[in-house]
Amino acid sequence: MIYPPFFDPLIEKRFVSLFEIKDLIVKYRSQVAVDGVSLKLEAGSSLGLIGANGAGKTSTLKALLGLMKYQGNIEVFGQRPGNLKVFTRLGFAPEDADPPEYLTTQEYLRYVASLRIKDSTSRKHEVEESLKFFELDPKKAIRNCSKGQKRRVLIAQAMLGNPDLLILDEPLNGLDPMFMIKLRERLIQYREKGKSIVYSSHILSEIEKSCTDLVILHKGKLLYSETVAKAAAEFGSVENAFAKKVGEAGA
Amino acid sequence: MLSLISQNFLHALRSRLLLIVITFSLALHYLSLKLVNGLKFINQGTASVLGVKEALFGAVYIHLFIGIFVAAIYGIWMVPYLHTGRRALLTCTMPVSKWKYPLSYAVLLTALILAETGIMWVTFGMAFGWKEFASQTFPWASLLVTLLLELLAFNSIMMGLAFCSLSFGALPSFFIGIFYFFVTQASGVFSRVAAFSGTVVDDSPWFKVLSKLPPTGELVFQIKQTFRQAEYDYQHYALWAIWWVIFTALFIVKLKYPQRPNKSEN
Repeated sequence: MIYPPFFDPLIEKRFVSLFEIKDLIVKYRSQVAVDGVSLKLEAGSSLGLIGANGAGKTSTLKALLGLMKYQGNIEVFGQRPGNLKVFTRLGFAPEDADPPEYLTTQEYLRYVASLRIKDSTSRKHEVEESLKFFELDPKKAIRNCSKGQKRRVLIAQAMLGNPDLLILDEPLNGLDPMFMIKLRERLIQYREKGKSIVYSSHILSEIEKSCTDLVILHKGKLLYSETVAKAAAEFGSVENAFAKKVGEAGA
Repeated sequence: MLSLISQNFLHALRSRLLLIVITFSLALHYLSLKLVNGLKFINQGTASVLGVKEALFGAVYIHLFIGIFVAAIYGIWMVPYLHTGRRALLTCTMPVSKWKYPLSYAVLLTALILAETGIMWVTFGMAFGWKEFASQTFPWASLLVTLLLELLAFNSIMMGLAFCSLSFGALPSFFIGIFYFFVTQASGVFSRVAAFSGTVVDDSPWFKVLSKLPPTGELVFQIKQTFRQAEYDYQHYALWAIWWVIFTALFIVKLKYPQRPNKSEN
């Protein structure tokens, strides 16, 4: 269902999902990467997407963002994926991406901020705060940044403008443990402001600490979907839930 | 839009494209004009030198080929940068309307060509003297109309090669561009020679098809006609404009999904 312009899903969040995926199928030539996955996310939730390599996590995220062809039905903020209105309310930190190498960290964040934040004072303040939180040297060229620093730039640009939906694909790759703790606290605070996060990660302990909901994908299919609290209560931990469900699927 | 244009400018500046354009253009224009200024033609014992207008046409000729070179380099390697490889996913998810990208690239290419034009005028002044610009016979109108035609042609070439680069990769696009340019130039020369000798070639299927494609083969002759005789073939201008619109539309369609990186390129 496409919502009329005056209808804000976030106000009517009791009745509306931030995004909804129904019977999603993604194919790469003849190979099926995602096979009939259905899920949704409510406002103020954080969804942990876990699965082995090739489970279909990134393909699901790319379909959600309108970055590839798919079959099925997807709506984000009541709009079709890839719509410009969706991107004004969404921040995405991909796993395998680099910002333009000819820019410095500050220049790139200023550029992204100029696309998302209209007020110049707020823009300047947010960029400075972002550089400070993510411990980035403003004058350092992105080509000279380490893998971990580039990852921080990616997450920083995704969070600029406080988008309603944050999509993080393997955000913790290359980050040091101290910063992982700092980022986790920041993301929890972010969610508590009513924002939503989709978090794809192999680090199951982080999913358990950071997310409210959990989805396990395996070979393109949705194996398990539950709140983290219930999953932990049923299986003891997210790790146990993952091992049990994938083990059953494999058998 | 302004932030997108400033990003493109930084890209041109830091990739040294701007520096290369300025240096290459300065050297080529200055040396050529100095050489032309020093040439003497001896005819039956009478020595004469090339006039200002002829020398300026030579400079326009050089300007044309440098401009095609800049448009090709920019379109093949720099325009696709944000839309391929490890930048593509980020670019595709930015809240930027797709039509703004080709427009910003057109603005930057125009700026590069205007920089090259400025260099042409400066080197002309250095070789022939600054007083020539104030002369009543200085062909300002011809230069400006020629520049407009070149900008239209260069933007078409840039967008066409950018679309090729996104579709087939940078290196194949470079050779496609060279091949197309060579074939159309040769066809253009052949049709002129044939017309001069009274042979009709316009009815052949090849020339009928060629007359509808981007007219790079006719560009040199149109520049000459525009500059010397102030006559404008509006069909030629319209053809470049149509192809610019077509290539821009194809480019925007290509931006819908992030392009996979070419195996030999990042």
